[in-house]
Amino acid sequence: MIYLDYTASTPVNSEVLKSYIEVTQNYYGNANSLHEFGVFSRRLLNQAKTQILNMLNLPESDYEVIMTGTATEANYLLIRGIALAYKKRGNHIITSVAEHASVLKVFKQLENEGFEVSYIGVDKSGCLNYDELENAITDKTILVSLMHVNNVVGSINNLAKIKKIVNAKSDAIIHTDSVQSVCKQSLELELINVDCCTISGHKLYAPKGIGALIKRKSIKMTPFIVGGGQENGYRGGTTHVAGAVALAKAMRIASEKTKERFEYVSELSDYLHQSLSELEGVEVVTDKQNSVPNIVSFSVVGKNTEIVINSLSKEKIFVSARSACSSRSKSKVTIIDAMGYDEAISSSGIRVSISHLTTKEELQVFVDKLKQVINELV
Amino acid sequence: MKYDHILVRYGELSLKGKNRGRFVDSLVNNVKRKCQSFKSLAYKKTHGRLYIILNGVDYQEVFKKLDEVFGIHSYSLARRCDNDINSIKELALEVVKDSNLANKRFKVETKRGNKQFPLTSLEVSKEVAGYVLSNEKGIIVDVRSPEFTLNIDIQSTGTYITEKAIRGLGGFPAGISGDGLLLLSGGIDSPVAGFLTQKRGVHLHAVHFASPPYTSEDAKLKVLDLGKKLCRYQKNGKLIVHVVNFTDIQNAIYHNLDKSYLITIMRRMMFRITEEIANKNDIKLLITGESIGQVASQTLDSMYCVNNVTTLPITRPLASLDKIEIIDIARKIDTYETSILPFEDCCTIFVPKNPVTHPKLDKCLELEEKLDIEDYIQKAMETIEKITLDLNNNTVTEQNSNENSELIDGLF
Repeated sequence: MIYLDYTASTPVNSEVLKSYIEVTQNYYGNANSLHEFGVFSRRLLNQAKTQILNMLNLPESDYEVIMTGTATEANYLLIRGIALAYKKRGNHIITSVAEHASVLKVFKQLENEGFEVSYIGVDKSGCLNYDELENAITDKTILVSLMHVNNVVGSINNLAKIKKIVNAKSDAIIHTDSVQSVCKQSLELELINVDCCTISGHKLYAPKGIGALIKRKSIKMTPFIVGGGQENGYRGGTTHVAGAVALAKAMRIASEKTKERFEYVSELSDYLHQSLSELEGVEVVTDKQNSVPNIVSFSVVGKNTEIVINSLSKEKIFVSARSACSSRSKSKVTIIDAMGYDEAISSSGIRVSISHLTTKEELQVFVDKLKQVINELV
Repeated sequence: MKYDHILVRYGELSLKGKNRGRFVDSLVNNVKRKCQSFKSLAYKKTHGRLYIILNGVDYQEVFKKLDEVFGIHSYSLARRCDNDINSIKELALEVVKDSNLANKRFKVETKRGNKQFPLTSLEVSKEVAGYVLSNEKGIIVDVRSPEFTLNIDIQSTGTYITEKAIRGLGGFPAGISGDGLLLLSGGIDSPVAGFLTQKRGVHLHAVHFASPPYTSEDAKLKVLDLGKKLCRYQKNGKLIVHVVNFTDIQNAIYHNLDKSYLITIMRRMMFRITEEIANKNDIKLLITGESIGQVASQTLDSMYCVNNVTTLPITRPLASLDKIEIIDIARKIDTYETSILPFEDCCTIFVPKNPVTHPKLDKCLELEEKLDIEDYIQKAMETIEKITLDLNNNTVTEQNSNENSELIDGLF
C-alpha cells in the first residue's frame, strides 16, 4: 500500500508503543489514588505534562496541560469553556472560515446560543486575511481562535502577527488549533504568542484516543465533564496516563528529528509540486511559499473527486478528499472556495499528505497512477 | 432567641479600591467553602457585608467555621424585617421579649445605610425605644451605660436587628496575596509565624529539615500534625510540606568545622535549600518564626549572617513578640500542645556547648570554603519528600527516589 494521508492519522512509533504498553500493563494505578502505586501514576502524568510544555517552549509556571480524549474534545472544552466563562465581559468571538470542523462547529453552536461570531476569510494562499481580523475586533471580543497550520491546504498563519493585532485592540484570549503544526516543522516557538493551543496524539505517531489542551493557568474555563474533578477540575474521568506518556514521548522523538525530517519531506514536496503541476487537468491549490511541505492539495478539474479517490484506492494508494473529518460531505471545500477558486476547483479538492516515512518511489507510483486515472475517467 | 441571619462584615477589605471586588468574591467563596457541610444555608451579598440566612442551621456551628476565615472583620446574629417603621418596632419588641431583659438597662442604636429611609437614625431610635418601653414592663432606658444594646441596621435590602458584634480573624482572604514558604521546625514559634502570614492572605508551603536517624519518625509526624492545623486557614484546605533530609550536611559541618559556628552555618545551608525550593515552586517569600534575641541563632548578628545567603524577602512575624505572646497565639490556633511534645528536632541534637552569639560573616565564608556547598544542596534537593496535608487527615507523599527516576526516564 502507498499511504499518503499522514495528516489524517499516523502509525504509532514503536518506541512510543513500547512505553504505552509498559505503562498500561505495569503501572496501571489510578493517578488519583492515594497509595504509592497511584502516586507513581501521578508522577508519570506530571512528568508527561512537564515534557509536553518543554517541547512547546512554554514555561510550567504559567501554563497547564489538560489531557483529553481527542483534539476535537480539547477544542470543544476550550472554546466553549472560555466563551461561557468570559460571557460577562463580552459576547463577541472570532474564528476563520478555514478552521477544522472541531472548531467551526463549536462556533456555530455558540452563534445559535446568542454569541456574535466573526468568521475571518483567507487570501489566495489560504492564509488568514489579517486586515479583516483587525477590523473585526471590538472591545466586546473575548476569544479569537485561529488555526496554526491548515489541515486541508497546509497554509501557515503567522501567530506573532495575530497576537500583535489582537492585543492592540482588545484583551481577547487567543487560541490556536496547533494539531498540524507541532513537532513537524519547527513552528513550536511560534506558540509562545498564544494563550492556549490544542494538540492530538495520533497526528504525531502516538496512539489515537489522546489529545491535550494547553492553556495559561490564569485563563478561566467552564468545564463540562465535572465528575471526579480530574485534570485540574476541567475534565472529570480517570486520566489516560499511558496516553499522556505516549504523547510526551512521541513529541520528544519528533522534536529531536524535526530538522532532518523537515528537510527530507521538503525535498519530496518539491518533487510532488513539480510533477503535479506538469499533469494536464490538475490544478495545484497549495501555495508552496506559504505552506508546510507535508501537505499538497490539488484539484482534478472536471472529474468527480470521489471516483478519483476510489480508483486510486483500488490500486492501494490512499489519499484524502479535503480533511478526513468532513470528507463524507459533498459540498465544495470551504477553504479552497475562500481562497477564491471557482466551484469546478473547490468542489474537487484532493489532499496528499506525506511524512518522513514516505519514499520518492511511492510518490512516483502515485503520480503515474493519477495520470492514468485522469486519462481513463470519463 | 430566634435569629435567622448572620451578618458578616468585611472590615479592612472595604478600603481596597479597585481590588475590592476580587477580595470580596474570594472571601465569600472561602466562607461558602468552609460552611459547605451546612446544606441549607443561603447567602446574600450586599455592599460591605454578607448575610448568611440560617434556614434552621445552628448558628454556633456556623460561628466555629467563621472563626477560621481570614478577612472577616466581625459578625453578628441578625433578624430581618421590611424597611418600614412599624415592622421595625414590632421586630424590636419581639427581640426584647425574647431576650429576657427584666430590670435591665437598655438602649437603641440605629445605623442608616439606606438614606432613602424617611426617618433619621435618631428618630428611629426614639420611636422604637418609646414603643418598646410602652409595651414591655420592667425595662429601663439608659443611653450612657446600657446592659443591652439593640442595634438597628437599615439597609436597602431590608432592616436588620443585630446582637453584639463578635470580632472575626481580620486580615485578608486566604491566598489572595500569593505564596510563601514557611520554615517549619516543630517548635512553638514557626506555626504561629505561619498563621500570622496566612492572615495577610499568603498561601503557605512549608519546608522541614529532618536528620534521621538523629531525629525520629515521630518528630516528623509531629511537624505534619502542626501542618494539618494550619490547613484550616489555607485557601484550598491543603498544605504542601517539603521534608529535606539534612543528615549529611549536618554531619559534614559537625565533623569539619568550628563547632561554635555549627548552628550559623547549618542555618545558612537551610536557607540556601529553602531558596532553591522556593525558586522551583515559583514562591517569592520566605517566612520564619525567629524572634529577636530569643536564642543564640536569633541575635541580629546571626540573622545578618544567615540572611546573607538569599535575596528573597523574608518575613519574621514574631520578630518583636515576647515568648508569652507567641504562646498565647499558639494556644488560640491549637498548635501549642502539639509543639511542646518532647521530640528532638534537628537543631537540638547538634547544638554546641557554646554557640557563637555574634557570628561574623567573614568567618562564615572562610569556614564554608571547606564545604562543596553546591554539591550538598543538590544532594539534599534529591532527598526531598513532598507531602500534601489536608483537613481530612489525608497525607499524600511523593518521594524523589533515584530508582524510580531512572525507571520513569526510560518511559519518556
